[in-house]
Amino acid sequence: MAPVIDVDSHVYEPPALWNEYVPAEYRGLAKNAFFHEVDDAGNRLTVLNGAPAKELNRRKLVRQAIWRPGMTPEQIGQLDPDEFHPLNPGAWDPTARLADMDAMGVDQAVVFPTLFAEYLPRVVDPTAAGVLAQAYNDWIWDFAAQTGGRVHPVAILPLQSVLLARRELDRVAEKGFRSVVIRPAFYKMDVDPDELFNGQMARLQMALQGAGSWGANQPVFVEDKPFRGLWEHVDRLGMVACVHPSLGITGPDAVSSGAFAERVASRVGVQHTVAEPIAYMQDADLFVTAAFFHGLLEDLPTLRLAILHAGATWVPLALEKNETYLWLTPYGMSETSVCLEPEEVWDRHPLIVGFDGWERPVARMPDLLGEKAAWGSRYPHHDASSAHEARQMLEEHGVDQAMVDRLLGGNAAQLFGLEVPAPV
Amino acid sequence: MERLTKSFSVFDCDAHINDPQPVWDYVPEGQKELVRQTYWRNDNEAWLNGDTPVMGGGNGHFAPSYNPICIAGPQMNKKIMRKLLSMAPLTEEQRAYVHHDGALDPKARIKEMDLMGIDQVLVIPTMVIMFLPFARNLEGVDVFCQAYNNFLKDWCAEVPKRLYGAALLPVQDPLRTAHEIKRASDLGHPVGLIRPIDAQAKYPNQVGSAMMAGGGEYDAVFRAFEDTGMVLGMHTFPAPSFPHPLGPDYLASPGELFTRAGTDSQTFSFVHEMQVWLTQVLLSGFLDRYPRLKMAVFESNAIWLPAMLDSCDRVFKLYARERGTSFSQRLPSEAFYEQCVISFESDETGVFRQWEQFENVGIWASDAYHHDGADSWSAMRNMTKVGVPQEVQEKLLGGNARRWYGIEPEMFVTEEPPPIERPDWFPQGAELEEWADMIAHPRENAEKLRELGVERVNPAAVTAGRGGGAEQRGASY
Repeated sequence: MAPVIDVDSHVYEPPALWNEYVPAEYRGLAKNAFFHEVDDAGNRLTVLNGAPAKELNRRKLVRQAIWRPGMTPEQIGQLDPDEFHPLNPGAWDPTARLADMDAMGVDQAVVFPTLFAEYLPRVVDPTAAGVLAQAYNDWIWDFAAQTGGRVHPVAILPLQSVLLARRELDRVAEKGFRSVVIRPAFYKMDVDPDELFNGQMARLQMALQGAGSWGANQPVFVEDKPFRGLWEHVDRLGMVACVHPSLGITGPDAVSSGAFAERVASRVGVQHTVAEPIAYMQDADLFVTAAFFHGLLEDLPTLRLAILHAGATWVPLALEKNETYLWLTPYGMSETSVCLEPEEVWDRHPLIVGFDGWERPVARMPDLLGEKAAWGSRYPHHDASSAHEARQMLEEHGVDQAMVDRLLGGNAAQLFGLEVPAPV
Repeated sequence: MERLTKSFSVFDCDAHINDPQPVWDYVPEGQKELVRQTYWRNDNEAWLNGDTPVMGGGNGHFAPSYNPICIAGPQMNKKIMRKLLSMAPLTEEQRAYVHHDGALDPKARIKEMDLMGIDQVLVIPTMVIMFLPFARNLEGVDVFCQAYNNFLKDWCAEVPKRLYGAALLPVQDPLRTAHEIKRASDLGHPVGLIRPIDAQAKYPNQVGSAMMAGGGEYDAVFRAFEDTGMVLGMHTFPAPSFPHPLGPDYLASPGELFTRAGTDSQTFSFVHEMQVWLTQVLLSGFLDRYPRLKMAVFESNAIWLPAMLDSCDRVFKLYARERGTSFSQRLPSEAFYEQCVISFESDETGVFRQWEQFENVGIWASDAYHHDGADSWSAMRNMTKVGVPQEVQEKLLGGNARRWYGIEPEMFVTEEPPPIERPDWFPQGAELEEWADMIAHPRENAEKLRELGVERVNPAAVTAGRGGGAEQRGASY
């Protein structure tokens, strides 16, 4: 069997990250901006911008660090949500992590943040966000360094400030990071609409529909014009831009997709989060739509992209929808001369999309979805799957071995430029 | 291309009319001013709440270009439409030619249905879906919906057994909605429409805890659907841009994020609004609470459904001890397949490739005459190309929808028409294909476009429906 690469696994950031990796003189600033801790009795504290923040979990179960190899959804579902269940130490401990990777059939893993992905974009103080990003990156670098090259760390950026983000990008590139995570979300900035892609159009449309005018400190999408230099810099550095959504249920609607679903669902009496099945793919839809409309992939044809944690099934519809509206609407006639056939742009671009071990449409249509797909576990989140589960699903649907090898590692190795030794 | 024939009845489950102005004639005289202050339009202007100008869909809004709400009729396609866009200003004659009168007139509709391979249709309004949820006067909305539903009955009666309508409901007022469901059902309308958005911070889902004997304010609405047997038609739309009562960080529709990201919300607003609705319905036990409810999911595409159901099933298991005790043990996928159908459009290859997942729940929609609409012939070609069995095609193209709506099949169309003879100015033939290929790849063809003096269209001018951009340019794309 070919080597297996898990293209989407996670850490659950421990207090040591703040206590040992944030310089003492900035620790108060950083912890006041964003901090999280769970004690051994399950008591939690999450601070955001100096106040208690909405938690990712409504009950005591810490679902982002609960899964262990072999656990099924049914088993997790039977855990008492009002009792504390110990977190999987593989979420922050390299030794435990490697043991779990062995059990999951994973040779190498690309590792993303959990809490930093959810909360860091909403830190108001850019300086604090910069300090926190540095701390995370230094911590994850050291974590990966203890895994014998089997874990590939992905750096995070303080996108509240393009200046600080670019500075941190240079620093992590110098350190040796080969990829950076960019959450497809809105970041508050003080910009004039005319500084945005189609800002004039947005303003016009809002005026036509009777909406209010654009205000200061406006949410700006991460693909929009103020960020373009950053994307160009990622490309110049030869790093992989990992577009990775977060659930987004702890913030307001205007940050990313999950919040709207979660907020309106609260009226129907549902007692747990409902955004998980849709938030990630909706954020992916938004990113690629913006990218096609504004020519990101055409402007930067060598930019390596990995769009993760959203499944792969959304891709054909995203291509079709963008094609339709690039042809048909005045918005398609955008400021940039963009290709009206996004499938062509997609096919020739160096990119992958993550898929889940239970995502059967990938197995049903490997010719349609498999060329650019790469399996990710979501470990140790509660909805994780192992490589064994993914392999079984693909083989049950008759996917040929060569495609299975690409889906479980080959496509990822190619994009990330990984040299993969013989499998474990 | 070989012309197709068919031997079964095609039911178009989701096509549109363009809110014909006679609807307002159905408003009782004494309430006309009330409705005028609620939602009113003519061919050139539209007003919401009496004080907010909106784009009501009249031809005047789009002059000097075509009306995209009435454009996708027989043998139209995106290349023709793009070329027409570039030809603005169109003459009055040209605009009239590309306007499909079936969007307003039932007799014209039938002629166009014949050409598009459609035997029976369920028609749905257009811009009222966008704006009516934001109307503040509850009585005005109610009166307008009654007028629309009365109009619809007469409109459909012009051609019995071919034309059916989806009732409009005053959704911001649940009790009036429940009443109108019963009235519209008595009128014979098989479907009642609700748009799943948070307009005025009133997302239409407050039914109360499933454990309570009573219910929230919308409980009466869904009970009325159950009691009448009327199908709940969830229909989505492009994102609005009205201020939200909770403030600028909150949205009425998830599609607004696409506008804010500098794109066109039409791309995904439809899909995302529906995904939000469906995921909470499936994970909250909503369908267990209303086990006799029949729901139709409209205008949101369908390829995403199998993966979302798999994901919902997984989440359902993961939260087994957090969802309360009154639920049945039906998986979300089981509940969907028992109580829902979902519309798909002619170009959804991913749906056809997974036809086993849609065999009994897929219902075809033309979306005519909206600019992304298509005929049934193209759906048949695409299905045949990927091997969808004939008996399944018949279900997907009509059988499932009729079963859901309780409508008997009638067949009026058996042969695909020959190419329509077009006037000389109409974009067509090799010249159109060559032009379309060139403008589809503007970077590769930059030099050629420059040589030909072809410039990009001024998007602001087109969107504003003004000729300002048109005079500035010669040839354009």
